Amino acid sequence: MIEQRYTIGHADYANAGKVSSQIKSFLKQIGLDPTLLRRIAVACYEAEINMIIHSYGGEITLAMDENSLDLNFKDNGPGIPDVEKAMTPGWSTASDKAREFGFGAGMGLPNIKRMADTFEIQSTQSGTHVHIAFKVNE
Amino acid sequence: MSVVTYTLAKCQKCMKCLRVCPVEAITMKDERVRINKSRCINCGKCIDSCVHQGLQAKGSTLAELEYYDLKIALVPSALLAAASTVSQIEELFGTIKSLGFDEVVDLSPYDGAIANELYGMIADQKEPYLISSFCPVVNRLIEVKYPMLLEYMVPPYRSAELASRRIREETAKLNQKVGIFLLCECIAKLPTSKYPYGDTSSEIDHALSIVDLFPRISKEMGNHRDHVDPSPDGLKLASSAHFTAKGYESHILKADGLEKVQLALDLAEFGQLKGRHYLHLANCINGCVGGNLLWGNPFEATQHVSEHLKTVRGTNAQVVFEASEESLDEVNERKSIQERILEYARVNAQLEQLPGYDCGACGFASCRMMAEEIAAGRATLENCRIRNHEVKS
Repeated sequence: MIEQRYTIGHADYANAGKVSSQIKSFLKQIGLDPTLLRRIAVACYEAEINMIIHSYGGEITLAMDENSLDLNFKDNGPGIPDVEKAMTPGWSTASDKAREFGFGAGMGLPNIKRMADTFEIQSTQSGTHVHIAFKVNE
Repeated sequence: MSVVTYTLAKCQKCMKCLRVCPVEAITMKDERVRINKSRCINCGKCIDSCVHQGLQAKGSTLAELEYYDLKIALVPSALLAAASTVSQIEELFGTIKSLGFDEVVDLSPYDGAIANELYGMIADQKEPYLISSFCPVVNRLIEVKYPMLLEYMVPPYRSAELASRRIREETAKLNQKVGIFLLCECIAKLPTSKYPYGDTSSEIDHALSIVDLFPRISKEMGNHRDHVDPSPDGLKLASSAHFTAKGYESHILKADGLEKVQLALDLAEFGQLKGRHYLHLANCINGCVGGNLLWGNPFEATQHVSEHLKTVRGTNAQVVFEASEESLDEVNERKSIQERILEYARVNAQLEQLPGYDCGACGFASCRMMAEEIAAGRATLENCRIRNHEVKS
């Protein structure tokens, strides 16, 4: 079992994607199947960017064994008022600042769900928790 | 597959090569450089960094000509960009012929045929990507560092192979020993012929480095002339600034130079190149026209292509594209996922003992690589010079 933990700062656009890059290079070192690797990379990147744009910051944890890889994205709020709406492709709340940076196409959560084998989301005002999992047995 | 050769007598053990290698293929062990042939991508960074000529890439020599009855030179499209006018291209071809060849073949009509094939593929391409395969360095880089993008690659069509195959067909009845010599504009193309590391499916007999021929070409230049009718499409394929597919300009991402190429590939892995369906990637600055064995500079070469394109009207070769026998494969020994996780944990345990400076003083390119060696029992923590220093002081 391998566990890793990363901190995401609030609105830390300057470091957008760095955690996903670290996770990607870790998975390459493990030598994961390329197609699986790409699905994880895309989902992880989307979820990391979501945290940077929408949350007050939080934490990404990774746990991997020979059967599955679990990624947890836990932030400190403010929460998603209507999760169902947020899961609709094209629906976006991204601020103008975020859009200036090229974020906010409204495909983030739907894309993550599409890439992952398991997708769970819970959201309250004190934080959002996205859990995704991938089967790794080959 | 590596074309880089090492001369121990010239090596000053400065370890610059080890630090510039983008794929950590170089280590220093027992006071000598070792190149991991299966990791090396032939980018030439180590050769550029070596000021003592300890690292070099050599092609065949013209002395090989005497073993053949009919000698044919293949000239890459990129070399046309070394001449400033079309008239000078003809002088260049005549001069190359005077070095001992019976025929000098312009590869631009074959590159043009490949470009045409690409235009069609780009027009048909929907998401996510199609990645160019004309640069051997980029192909190897993707194999070694970006395996998840392998499935997007254009089949590795090579103009030199297409032309050679045609020459073999045309000369089959002659009952003569035909020697096909490819002039190479970059070091990565040297091993694409049979010299010196075998690609057994190649029809090319020898690869010559253009810089090696330069002294003789410059001496003879102006005394000879051979008719050439270059293909504009072929020239465009070799020049990043000029390559495009009409109507799909905004779908194309062009990146030249290894840093830009790696950035494009990193973003592609995250699915972050939205709207770009074709990636045109080259290791050399400005594409093949900036080849690291050419005597001019990439900026001048690009300018020359702009000039040539005003006048050249040559047609493309008629080529039927088949799937190539050469496939781009992932290089990875398959251990079970459980073993690989355990191995990672073992390496990480060692990595935590190391300073993480990636200074290279131990002879390995990074602390991670050193940790892998320790985990495998081929090195010990005492090999870390920084750590030794800290322990003593």
